[in-house]
Amino acid sequence: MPVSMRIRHPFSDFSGILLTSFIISFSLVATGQETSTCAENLKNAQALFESGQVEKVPEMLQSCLKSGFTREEQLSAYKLLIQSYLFEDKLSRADSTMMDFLKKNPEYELSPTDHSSFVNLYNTFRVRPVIQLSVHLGTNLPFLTFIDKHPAMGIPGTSTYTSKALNLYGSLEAKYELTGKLELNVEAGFSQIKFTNTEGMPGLEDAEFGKTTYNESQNRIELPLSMTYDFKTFGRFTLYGRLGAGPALNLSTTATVEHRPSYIGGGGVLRTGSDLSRNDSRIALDVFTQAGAGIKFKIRGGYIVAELRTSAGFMNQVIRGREEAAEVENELASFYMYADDDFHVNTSNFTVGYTQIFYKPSKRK
Amino acid sequence: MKRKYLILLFTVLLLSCERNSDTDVILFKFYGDAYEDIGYSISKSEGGYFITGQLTQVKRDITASGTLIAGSTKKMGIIRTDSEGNVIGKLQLAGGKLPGSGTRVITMADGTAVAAGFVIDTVTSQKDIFIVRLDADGNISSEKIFKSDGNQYSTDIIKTDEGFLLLGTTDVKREPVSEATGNAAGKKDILLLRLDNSFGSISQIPAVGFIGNEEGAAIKQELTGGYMVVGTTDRSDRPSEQAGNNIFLFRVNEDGSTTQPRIVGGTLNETAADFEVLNDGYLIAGTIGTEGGADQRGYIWKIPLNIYDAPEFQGKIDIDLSSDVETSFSINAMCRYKTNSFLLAGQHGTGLSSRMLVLAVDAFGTMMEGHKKIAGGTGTQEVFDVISDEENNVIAVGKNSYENNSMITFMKFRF
Repeated sequence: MPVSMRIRHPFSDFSGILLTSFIISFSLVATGQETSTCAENLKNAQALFESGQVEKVPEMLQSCLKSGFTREEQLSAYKLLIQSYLFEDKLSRADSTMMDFLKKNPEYELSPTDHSSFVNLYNTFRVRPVIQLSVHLGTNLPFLTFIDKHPAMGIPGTSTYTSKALNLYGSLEAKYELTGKLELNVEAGFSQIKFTNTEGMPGLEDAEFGKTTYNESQNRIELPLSMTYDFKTFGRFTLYGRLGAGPALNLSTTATVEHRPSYIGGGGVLRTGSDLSRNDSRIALDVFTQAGAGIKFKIRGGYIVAELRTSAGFMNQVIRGREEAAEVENELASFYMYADDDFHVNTSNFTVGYTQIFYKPSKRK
Repeated sequence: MKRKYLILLFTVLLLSCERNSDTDVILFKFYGDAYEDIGYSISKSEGGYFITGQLTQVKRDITASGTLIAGSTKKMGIIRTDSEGNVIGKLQLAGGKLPGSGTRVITMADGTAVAAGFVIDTVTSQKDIFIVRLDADGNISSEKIFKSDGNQYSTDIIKTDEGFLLLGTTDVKREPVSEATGNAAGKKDILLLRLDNSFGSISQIPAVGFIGNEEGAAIKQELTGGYMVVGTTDRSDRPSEQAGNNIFLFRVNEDGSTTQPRIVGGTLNETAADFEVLNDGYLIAGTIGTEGGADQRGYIWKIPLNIYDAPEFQGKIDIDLSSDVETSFSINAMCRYKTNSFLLAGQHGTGLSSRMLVLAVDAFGTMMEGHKKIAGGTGTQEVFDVISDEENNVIAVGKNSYENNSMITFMKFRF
């Protein structure tokens, strides 16, 4: 029987490794050389500045400002460049360089070692946060209130509403600073709400003949407008509170239901079926109020945030008697012996997130 | 500017508050337990309803592996509800240990009620007519079993000046047996009992019927005195002329004597469900076709006051107004609706896809547009009785079955 064999060249793997190593080494060397050149340029520029040859400083630094400096070197280079322009009375150049410097380092804080000319020019600028964009991700714990029972059984049985803590919540938020401590926030959030109602079915002589378990899952977009207020700052931590309100748009509502007999034999069978769409039995738009508190930790350019919020829905979620919903409502009643209770949806959610601050430096007038 | 925003916010809120009118809402309520529970009759009462039918009492054994159903007995069930179908008190079983069922419940002027049906003698295994009196809260205040030879059961009962007139069925042999007279043992005849207010027998009216099976569907008081009975007679013995069932009606005089028997129908296998007394005759609702078959259709007859005259009109009820395809349905009950129209109720479809059906027809038996309600889901559903009230609510009772379990079903809605 012919056997087809592929003979590997003994050096094929080795040559590949060699080629890869060469490429990596070449790039590292090139980068290292550039870095080392820019660091030397900075030292040379400082020497030129100290020797009074300030006019040569910009030329020495310009190319490396685009790339090649470490962050600390770039800070020093900008300061040196600004001071050079100031010594040369090139004020407009100094202004534009200070603007570039502040765009790249909007959170720069003056240090005692900064030259007075740099400090004076710095103080003619103002850096304000224009907008802050936040991403929140966490979990919802839904809870229902204003439950008005509408049991399908003529004799009401037990009814227990429960919800699980793991429901996805995520949002994008834009924050506008109103005062030093007060912010106005516009947010768009995706909220998943799941709850379960387990109803006992009472039969004759106080016996229970079955249980119906109804699981509902809602996906909605929440659009709160809120205000946050920074209560207290300690170190890099700030405690804040939030109050707001807004609409919630229901994207989809589905339900899974089962009826399980409480006895063995005697014709009792488990009743299950496919998921039921409840969109036609739920309001499309709710309005809710929101209150919360959180803590934010300052990092360069933004915050790490953790927040706990509670939202309270204003409206009864249930619509009855729509023609479009008749089939599902009939199935719920006839097959599962279940009917919707009226209820309001509320949530508590815990999120962690990140806030990026976008600054805009400007010359003071 | 601020005003604009307020108007915008108000508009958004207004749009989001969707109409939650209850006019189109079907309210369902279920009553029962494991096994088979069926609602056969409903009657309006103060602040709610009386329902009677069959409730199956189950015996439970609690074992290590769970609760087992160790046995069951079908009994006459009585339910008193509020206007939303919620049970007042508890589900009641009548007849002591005897199996049975309720077939009709009527409400008295004083708010009490009377339910009629049957119980089964556990020794002879034969049915006896059974009547129960209920107080206004639905509690059983008295029961009476009418012991008799053969199988006898009640199908309807009405209040009269002297007490009650009960419509029932008996299968006792009646001589002489011929094609037009008497009854062979085991074949059903229509039975009438005149009862006083204490359920005492004033007289037993001689059974009415032919050689085959007869069963009374309903008894109603005539506008000019006396009573009219409508039922079904089995004329399978005359296949070429009448084939299967026909409508059978006769009059009952104030003194209890029966008169003017009349058979209506031909070879369509007609079965009577219920009827209403009109100023100029009788409107009878029923079903034609094979029982439980795909050829079943609701049917209506307008019989003039002189019941021997030809029907003013008769025909199949068209419930598929916008379609050429006819669906199978049967009619089990009828009642007045609004001023000059009627509700018919029964079952839409057959077998596993059958649903509860209620529709309204005008005085000519034509379905009123937008007045058809088909309700139900997986399993089978059927309406056995229907009533309406002054607010044009439609209230129906029947059964909702899946596998070996069925529940008494209460349904309330408005067209």
